[in-house]
Amino acid sequence: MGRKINYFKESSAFLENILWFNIRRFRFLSFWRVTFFIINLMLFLSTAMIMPMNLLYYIFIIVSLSNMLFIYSRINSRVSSYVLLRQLGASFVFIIFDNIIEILLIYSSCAAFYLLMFPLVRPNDISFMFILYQALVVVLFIPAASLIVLIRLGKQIREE
Amino acid sequence: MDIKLMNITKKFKSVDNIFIKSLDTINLDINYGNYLSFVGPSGSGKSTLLKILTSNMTPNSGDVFWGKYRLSNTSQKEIAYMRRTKFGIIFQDNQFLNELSVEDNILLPLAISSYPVGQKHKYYNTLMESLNITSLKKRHPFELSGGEKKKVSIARSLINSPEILVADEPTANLDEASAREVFNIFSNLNKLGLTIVIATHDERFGKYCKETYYLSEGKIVSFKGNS
Repeated sequence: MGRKINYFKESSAFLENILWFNIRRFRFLSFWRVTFFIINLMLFLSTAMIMPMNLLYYIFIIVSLSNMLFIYSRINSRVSSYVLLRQLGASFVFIIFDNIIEILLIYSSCAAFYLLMFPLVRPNDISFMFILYQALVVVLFIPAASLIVLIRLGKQIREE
Repeated sequence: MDIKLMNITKKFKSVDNIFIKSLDTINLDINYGNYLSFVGPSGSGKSTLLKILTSNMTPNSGDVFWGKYRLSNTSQKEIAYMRRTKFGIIFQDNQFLNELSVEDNILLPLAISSYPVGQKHKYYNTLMESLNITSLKKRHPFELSGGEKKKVSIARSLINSPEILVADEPTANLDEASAREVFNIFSNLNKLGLTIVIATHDERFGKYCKETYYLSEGKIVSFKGNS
């Protein structure tokens, strides 16, 4: 008990279980999923249309901010689930990875859909760079947002 | 695993900025295999005591020991690990993830513990059959009655083979027959060696437990042993 934590044994099915968790609840929360998908797809398509470089930087910033805003409100909306998971003993790492996988699955499907539409939307190298750049923003921002919410929540629960 | 509470005090700030004592200098030893209940009216501190016992709340003063580990000196990471491997918790309001089916809610503690949840756990079928909830597995929590929810909650708390079962008002919103059924389940589990700690406002169910502590205004005012 305690000091004899077998993290190796615990980590062996870690990702498998997070995927299981995400697949099982896929049918629900469809509003969030569809909104995130549509926002990104529309922004990807509009960037592919607007090619002048001076505009592109602004588009990058707008897309990043809107994604971050979406992710933060999404993470905040699931506070009651985090409370339950924490009470059942879930680690911060589990909840953060769960958030990353959930958003990344939707983002990846959106990027894949966008790539399939390339013949229609004048593709170029900047489009690929744009997808990678946004993926990076999404992946880096989720742990930060999750941690902020979880730490705030942890203090709130323990000091209530 | 034994649990020890030493001089536990918990205060809450009221809306008038006055501190109200919810628990006042509680000392208690919960030994392995025990079956005890905290009985008292609403506001007597039962639920607070259970939350402190499971480290879901921090006391203002005093110490909680899980085995030889003093929780105030133990990292959150270790506490979370022990909670998911040693404890089964039944919440007063059950608390399910509505987006998951009954079956997935029951398997949730395994997913958190990184047990390969894709493989059916060896206890899963036994649990479902013994609690008579096999037919509910594809339904969602919001489709269940109060008694069914409580049984699902019991199944979820037992799926990770805990050493200690902590139940907050396990008979709340249940009719007499369902409440008796729940306590019979607990008695059988205790016979198998599980430590059980219950908070209830209903004195009638104290007789099922080996030890009953009566709480009033945050203090243990009397004790009754039934063994």
